[in-house]
Amino acid sequence: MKDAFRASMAWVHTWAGLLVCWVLLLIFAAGTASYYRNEITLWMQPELHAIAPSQDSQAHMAERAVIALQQRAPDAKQWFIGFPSERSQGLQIFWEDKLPPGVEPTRERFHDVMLNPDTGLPLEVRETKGGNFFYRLHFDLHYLPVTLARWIVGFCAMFMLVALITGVIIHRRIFKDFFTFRPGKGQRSWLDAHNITGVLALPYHLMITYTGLMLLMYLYMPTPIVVAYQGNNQAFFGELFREEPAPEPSGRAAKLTSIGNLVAQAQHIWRGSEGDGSHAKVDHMHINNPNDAAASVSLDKAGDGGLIESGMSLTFDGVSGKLLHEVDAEQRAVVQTATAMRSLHEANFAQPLLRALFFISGLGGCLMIATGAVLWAVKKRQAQARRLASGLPPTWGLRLVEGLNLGVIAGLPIAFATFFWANRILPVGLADRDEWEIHCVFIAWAAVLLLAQWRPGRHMWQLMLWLGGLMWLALPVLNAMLTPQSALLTTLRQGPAAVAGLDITAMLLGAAICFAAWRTGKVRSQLSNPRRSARPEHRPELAETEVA
Amino acid sequence: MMKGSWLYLAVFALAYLGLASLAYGMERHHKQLTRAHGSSVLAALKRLTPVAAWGWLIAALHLAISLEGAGPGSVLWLGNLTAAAMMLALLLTYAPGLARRLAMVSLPLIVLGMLVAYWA
Repeated sequence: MKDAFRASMAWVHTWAGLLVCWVLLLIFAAGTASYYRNEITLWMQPELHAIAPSQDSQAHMAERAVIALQQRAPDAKQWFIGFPSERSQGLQIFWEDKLPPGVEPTRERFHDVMLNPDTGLPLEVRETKGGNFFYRLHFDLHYLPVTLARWIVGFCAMFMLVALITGVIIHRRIFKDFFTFRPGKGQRSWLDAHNITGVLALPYHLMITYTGLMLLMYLYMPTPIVVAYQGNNQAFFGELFREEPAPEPSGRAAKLTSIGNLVAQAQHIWRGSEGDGSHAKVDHMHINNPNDAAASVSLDKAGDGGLIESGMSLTFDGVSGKLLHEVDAEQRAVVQTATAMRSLHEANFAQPLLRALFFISGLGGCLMIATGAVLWAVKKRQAQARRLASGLPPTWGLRLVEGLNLGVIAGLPIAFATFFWANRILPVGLADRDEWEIHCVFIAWAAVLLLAQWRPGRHMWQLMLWLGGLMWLALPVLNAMLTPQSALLTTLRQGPAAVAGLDITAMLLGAAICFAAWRTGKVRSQLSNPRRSARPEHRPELAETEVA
Repeated sequence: MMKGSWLYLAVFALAYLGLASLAYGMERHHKQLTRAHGSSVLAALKRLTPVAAWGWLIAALHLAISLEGAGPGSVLWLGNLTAAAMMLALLLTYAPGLARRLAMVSLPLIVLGMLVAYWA
């Protein structure tokens, strides 16, 4: 009875995992990279590397941002100002165009410019999506309609949750094999590696999968909002976060109040509420209906590193400068829970050390998925040993999986490295340069996928792993050659530390992939003739948990 | 590096020491940890190791929470456990002697970390 249950769980685990593993690996790898979204963006904008962090007050910066916005978009629907933080040194301005009635809103209505916080002049930086490419790829994929992509991602995440839980159920020796890794033993080694990367980072895997599904729950489970709010999401969120809906423009022009004063006022109010004045920084601000009689200005307070973001905000009248509305830190429990989940998933509360631990766990997840996929193929090959020995080709299913494994596991490092290479190599003046960086990623990946289907075999594995490993290893060299200002030896001495960190991480990743390539060359005899484990399997369906 | 980074290192050292003690009490890993060394001073304490191990791990949790607060502190603790366990698993496979020496070094490191953080 117990064995039957375990066997059925093993079946679920195998197929739930196999069905989504390739897309899941893409999602996981992109998500892991997204922990360093800002650092990646900075690396990809070498023009910013010489700029020192600004020491000026936020009130002055806000004034400069408003001047820049007045020049560019005096009659926008709303303005947005993002202040420099420890992880991003530019002063960002966004604006949203007013649309004539009846026009379908598109992404084109948003514009953004990065300013030098000390001068308010635009920073001439190369066009790149930077780390935001990985961030979007993680839940929007690419080249697909957003809603469809998010359903695919949600489907994969749900399957991953199922695979995690069934994996724990069928892993009989979870405590006995807790630290066990036995290399060079064929199938046994792949199973060990799969178990160890899964079990040792299990708290992280469960957390990340569950919170990831939660973040998109409004899409996956819309019924409550449909029933209780007649499908009006805005009304729901407004009530949830106690936001006042933005007033409609009146159509009468009016002079905007001094934004710098409002920033100083907000900081004063928050200092009073904190008592010690340690954290009274503005994170970002919105200005609705600028230069209109119905203008309003909201400022959001920067968090102080807790799991729950500050949630404090102030709204002022944009003409008289009067305080209209204040949200204090006392959020309701349900909002606190939702925010804590988002924070946990995105690690946006994390100090550098904790962020690195998240990154390591994320890499562990990538390895868990990759080793699981390889394990399936190794087992199938074992099952077809007699057929293969008689000179017949592998079944089409096995051939497809082996090709996909090679194309995705060895192909993703190549594709991601291509992104960084393209950033340095593509000419700065190229039209749609940021899109071309991304096209390069998918062109490179498509090439590897095709090669993998054409000749899935160990030589191709070696070739692709060497290529990926060397691309990562050589990234700092390329960086030093094409953008000498940002070379590792320079950034190690005078910063930015994030740029040096990315170079060093690239070399470590490259070294690890080269090691894998070298091992692939070494274990020739074992892959074609895997060593049998000490005892033959009693029951094939229990192979997952066989006894050594 | 931030001030008090010694204490963050101490969290990792406590996590590693706790997990190494757990491994020490497990048949297969006990062999790995002692083979390079013959009989060890700790061998007599083998039966106490699981108790000690949980003690170290709880101490790591306590220190992490005192550094970061309950929420981020417990996340920090879990992250350290994962990183330390992965390191230990690799060391047990490829360099068991080093795994043992690092466990030995952990304890003075923790004490040193506390002292430095206290005096600095």
